[in-house]
Amino acid sequence: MEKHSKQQLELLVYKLLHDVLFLWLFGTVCLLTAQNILPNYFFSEFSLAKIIFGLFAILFLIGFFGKRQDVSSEENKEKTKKLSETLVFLIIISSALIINSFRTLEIFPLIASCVFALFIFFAFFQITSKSQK
Amino acid sequence: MFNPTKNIVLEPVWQKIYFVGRVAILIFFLLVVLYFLKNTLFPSEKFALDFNNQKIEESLLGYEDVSSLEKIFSAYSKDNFSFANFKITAKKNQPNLTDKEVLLRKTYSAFAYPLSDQLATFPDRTLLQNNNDFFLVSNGKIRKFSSFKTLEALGYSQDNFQKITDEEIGYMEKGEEITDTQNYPDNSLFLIDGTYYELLVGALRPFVSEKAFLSHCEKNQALVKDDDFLKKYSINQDNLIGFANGTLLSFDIGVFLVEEGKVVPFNNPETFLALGYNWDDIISANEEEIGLYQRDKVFSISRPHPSGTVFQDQDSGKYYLISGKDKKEIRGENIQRIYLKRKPVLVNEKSLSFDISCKLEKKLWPFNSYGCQMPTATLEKITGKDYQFKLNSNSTFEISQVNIIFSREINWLNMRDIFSDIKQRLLGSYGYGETL
Repeated sequence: MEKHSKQQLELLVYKLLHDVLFLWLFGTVCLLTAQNILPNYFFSEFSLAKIIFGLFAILFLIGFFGKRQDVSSEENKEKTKKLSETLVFLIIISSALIINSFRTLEIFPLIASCVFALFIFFAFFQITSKSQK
Repeated sequence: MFNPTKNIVLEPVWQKIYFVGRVAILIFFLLVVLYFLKNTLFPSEKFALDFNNQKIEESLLGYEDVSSLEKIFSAYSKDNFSFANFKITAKKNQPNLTDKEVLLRKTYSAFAYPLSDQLATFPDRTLLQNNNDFFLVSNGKIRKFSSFKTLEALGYSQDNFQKITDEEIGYMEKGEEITDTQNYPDNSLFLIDGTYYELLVGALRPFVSEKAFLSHCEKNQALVKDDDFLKKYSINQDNLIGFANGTLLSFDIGVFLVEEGKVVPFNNPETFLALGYNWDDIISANEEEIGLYQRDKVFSISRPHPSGTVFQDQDSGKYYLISGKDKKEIRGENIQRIYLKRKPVLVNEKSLSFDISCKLEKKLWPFNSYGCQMPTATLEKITGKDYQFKLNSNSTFEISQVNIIFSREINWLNMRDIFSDIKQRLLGSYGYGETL
């Protein structure tokens, strides 16, 4: 195969792997959300370890082809812009899941967990803002 | 669809291939989602027994060699299904099994025990009154008090006795008359300083607690005595009497079944319900009460009901008591009252008949394998957890492997059940319904 075609093929694989990654993450988030709402109902058919292993495999392949075609740096610039949008979406989903998982807690462990979480968040915020300065 | 790499533009030909690839990936994803939903919402259950590489007792599929020509395979499930696929692989050079009939029933294996000729009788320790005659059930026999004076001399009154009919007394084997007014017969019960005792071979055996006593007897059966009475007999403190066989106990977060001096913990709530037990029958036990017993392996769904279990046939209203590997009919209202301290496990007499069948057909793969499918939707109305497959053959044959797959049809009725289950679980997990 000539060099140009090979480059196009690798870029094609790279692009398709991103689609697979997106669908894989989308499926995993849906599955985790469903599992969180209805514990032990959906994971009987799937193994979380296999899902995570698959995720790493896709990420490894993306990294591999990205490096070969030197598209990682170019992509990253675009990604940082999108990151904030994705982050908001992820924070909303994560918060909903965390709040949902609190439902089984008694009031005192719940208060303790919230205070502890706020403390961690505050400490994290302080550390990151200091490092930015 | 979201495109995270739109900055990378391919040449027109490759862009077309990319478009086709994306569509193919999306279709594949949708197919996986459909497959996942089908398997989650309409799950099948698989049972296998490999005679070459597996110990029968370790298998999920039970096996019973009734005779050289008749074999029974038992699959255990709390669920109902639309179809059952039965596949048997014979060893090499075995007779042809084509057209052999496989029969199926759904029952409780303990209820399928042979019916004993003997009827269930009053248990030991019971005090009975029939007209003007008074009796104590001792060592499996009914012993008559020789006179009312004997009875009074021993400290009993009419209130200690349970009235029974002539017919009920006829079921019992008769023992020696009680004539001794100085010594109490075996299986006499006493309440001394808040503790219940049973007299056995000249020694008093304490009950571990009042709850344990009440799982066997009624309060009025015990004679109230003072501390001096304890000096008359030796006390067997090392051998406390626990709960009656078949009693359901709870301790900490576990639920246990008392079976022949052991407590068997249930492996999950589904097994508890699949066995037809009732949450209301659970007695809360303390550390001393539960510590009396050795803990047995977990009670899994494949285990049959133990001795002491009472079944009630919903069709005829008859009651049956499991005693060892037999079942005895409990006739007589007063006998039934004694055994019905807990709610009986509901069964159907018709569950004992093998009503569903199919004929084996030769399968292409693996070689020497035969299989058939039978509809099982009609078994939904029958109570039980044991799906028993019976295979009859005219000649002896050796089996290599047996596979049974239960599946559900995708239809509105099954869909409704699934959604109802999801709704229950959802409400349960948010505290608005019954949790399992």
